[in-house]
Amino acid sequence: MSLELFFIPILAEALKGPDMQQVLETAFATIDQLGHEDQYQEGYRNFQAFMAEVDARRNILREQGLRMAILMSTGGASAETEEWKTIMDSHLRRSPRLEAEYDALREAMRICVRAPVLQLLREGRQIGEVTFETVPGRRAIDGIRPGRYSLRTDTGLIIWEGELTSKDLIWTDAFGGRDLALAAEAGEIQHRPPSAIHVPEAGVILRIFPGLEGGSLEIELNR
Amino acid sequence: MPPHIGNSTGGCRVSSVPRPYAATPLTQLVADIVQRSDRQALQELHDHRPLFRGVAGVPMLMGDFLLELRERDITFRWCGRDPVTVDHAYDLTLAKFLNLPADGIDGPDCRHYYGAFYEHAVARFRQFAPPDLITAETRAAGLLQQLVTRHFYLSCLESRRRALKLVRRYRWRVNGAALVVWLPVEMTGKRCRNWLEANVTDVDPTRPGEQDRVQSIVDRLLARRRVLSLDRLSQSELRSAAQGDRLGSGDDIFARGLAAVVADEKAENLADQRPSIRALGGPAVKRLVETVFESLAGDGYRADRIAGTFGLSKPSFSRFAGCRWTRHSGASGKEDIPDLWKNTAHVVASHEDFAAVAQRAGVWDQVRRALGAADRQEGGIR
Repeated sequence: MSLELFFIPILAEALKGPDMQQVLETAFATIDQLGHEDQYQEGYRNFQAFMAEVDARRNILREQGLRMAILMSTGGASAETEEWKTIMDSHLRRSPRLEAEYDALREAMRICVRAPVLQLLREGRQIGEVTFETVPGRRAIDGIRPGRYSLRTDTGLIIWEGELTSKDLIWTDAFGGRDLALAAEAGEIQHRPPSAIHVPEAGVILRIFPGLEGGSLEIELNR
Repeated sequence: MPPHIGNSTGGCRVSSVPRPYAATPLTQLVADIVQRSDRQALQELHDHRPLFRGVAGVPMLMGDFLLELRERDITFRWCGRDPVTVDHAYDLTLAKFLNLPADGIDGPDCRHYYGAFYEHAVARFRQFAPPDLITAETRAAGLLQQLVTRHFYLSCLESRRRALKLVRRYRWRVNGAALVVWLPVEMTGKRCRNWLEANVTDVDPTRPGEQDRVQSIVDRLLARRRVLSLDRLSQSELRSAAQGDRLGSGDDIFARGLAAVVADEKAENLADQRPSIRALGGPAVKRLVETVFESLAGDGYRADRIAGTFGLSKPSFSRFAGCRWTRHSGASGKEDIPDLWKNTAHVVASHEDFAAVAQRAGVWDQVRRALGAADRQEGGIR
C-alpha cells in the first residue's frame, strides 16, 4: 500500500459495495482516523486535495445543471416550463449570482411590444420611415417624386410595391396642364379625392396627394 | 392631413440583387426553408430581414444580433470567461440557423431549429390570431428572437461542457445509420447504448433534426439530475425527478468498480492525455490504470516497477499517477494533482451518494477549513 495514496483503495473498495452509503461512511471515518497518524500525514493532505478537486468539479457540474435548468424554465408556455420555474425558484433564492443571470436571461428573452414602423423606399433606397404609436393612425411622407416605390415593415417585409408617376404626384400633370390658379378657383384641388391604394392584408391604405414639385404619401394603418 | 414627418435618408439600404422572397412573410419563409430546404429563402432571412432588436432596440439582422449577444457580460459568465468558448458558442449558434447540410456532412441542420419555430409560431397564432400581416410579422420576429437567444445560451453551455470535458462524444448506431450524442463523461461507452435505448424512443437517424432531438432529451434528464439531486428538495420532488432520470445516481455507473470506470474513461479519451501516455495506446492505458489501482490495493505499491513495465520514464509516470503531489510552500490545497487522480476525482464527483455521504461525514467542512487555513498561511484569498 502507498501511504501517500492510502485513501484511494479505501474509496475504491467502498464504491463497490451493495450497501454503498453505509460502507462509504465507514470509509470516510477510516480515512479520518488514519489521517491523524503521523505516517499518513502526507496521504491525508493528498486526500483533502483530492476531495477539494471533487468539490470543485461538483460545483462546475451543479452550475452547469442550474444553467441548463434556467434555460428549461425560459422555454415558453408548457407544463414542463412551469415545473422548471418552480424548481428554479428554490435554487435561485440561494444563489444571488445565478439569480442575476436568470433575470438577465429572462430580460433578454422578453418580447417587447413594438409600435409598427413602416419604411418607404424609392428605387430600393429608403427615403422615409414612420412609426405608428397608435393604431388606427395616419402618417405622411412628403417630397415624393415619380419613381418606383416600395413600402416595407422595419423587419424587412415588403408589403406594397408600385410605380408612382407625375400624374399621381405633380399638380400640373394631375390636372391635365391646366392653370393651377384656375383649378384652385374652381375648387377642383380641394375637392378632388386623392388616389388611394389598398393593401387589405396589411391593413394599410396609401393616399397620394399631388403637389407643386412633388407629392405626399399618406399611410393609414388600421387593425 | 395628418402631421407630416420629414423625409429620412438614414439607414439607406440599396439592393441590386433580385429578392424573390421580399414579399414573403416570415412564417412562410421559414416553411420554405423547412419543407423545401430553400436556400434563397434562407438567404432572404439572413441578408434582408432585420427581425431582431438588440439592447438599443435597433433593428438587426440575425448575424449582427448574435454578435451583440456574444459581447454581453452574461455570455462571458456562461462561457467561464473563456473567449475561445464564447467564439465556439457563437459559431455553433450561427450554424444552427444557417446550415442546410448536404448529404453526409455532420453538423447542425437549420431545418430542425426553424421547424421548432414554425410549429411554435403556428400554435401561437392559432391561439391568438394576429389581425393583420404587420402584426403577424412583428410577433413572429419576437418569437424567433426568443428562440435564437435561447439557443445561443444553450450553445454557451454546450461549448463550456466540451471545453471542461464534462461530456464525451458517442456515436450511436441505429438501423444502420449513426447519430452523434454528447453524454456525461463518466458514462463509459458500454453503458451509453443501453441508456439511450432505455430513455430515447422512436429514433430515426435519417429524420432532419433527430440528433438535436435526442441531445435535448439527454440534456433535459441531465439537468434534472444535477439540479434535483444536489439540493434538499422535498421527497416527492426527488421521486418525480428519479422517474425521469435513469442516468444513474452512482450504483449504475460504478457497478464495475471505480478502477474500471476510470480506466475506460482514460482509454477512451486518449487524445486528451499527455504525449507519453497517448503513445501507449488505448488498451495499454487501460491496463496501466487497472495495474495502478490493483497495486495500490495490494501490499507493495512500486511506482518505478509499474513505470518500467509500461515503458514510461519516472517523471512521466509521476505526472500521470504519482504519489508525491507537488506542493507550493508546503501548504495543503496547493497540490498539483497527477492526471489519473484528478480524473478519478472527476469521476467520483458525478456520484451522488458519494457527495451526500461526504457531506454527512463532515468531509467538505474539513476540506474547506484546511484550504482556508492554507490560504491564511499564505495570505491569499480564495
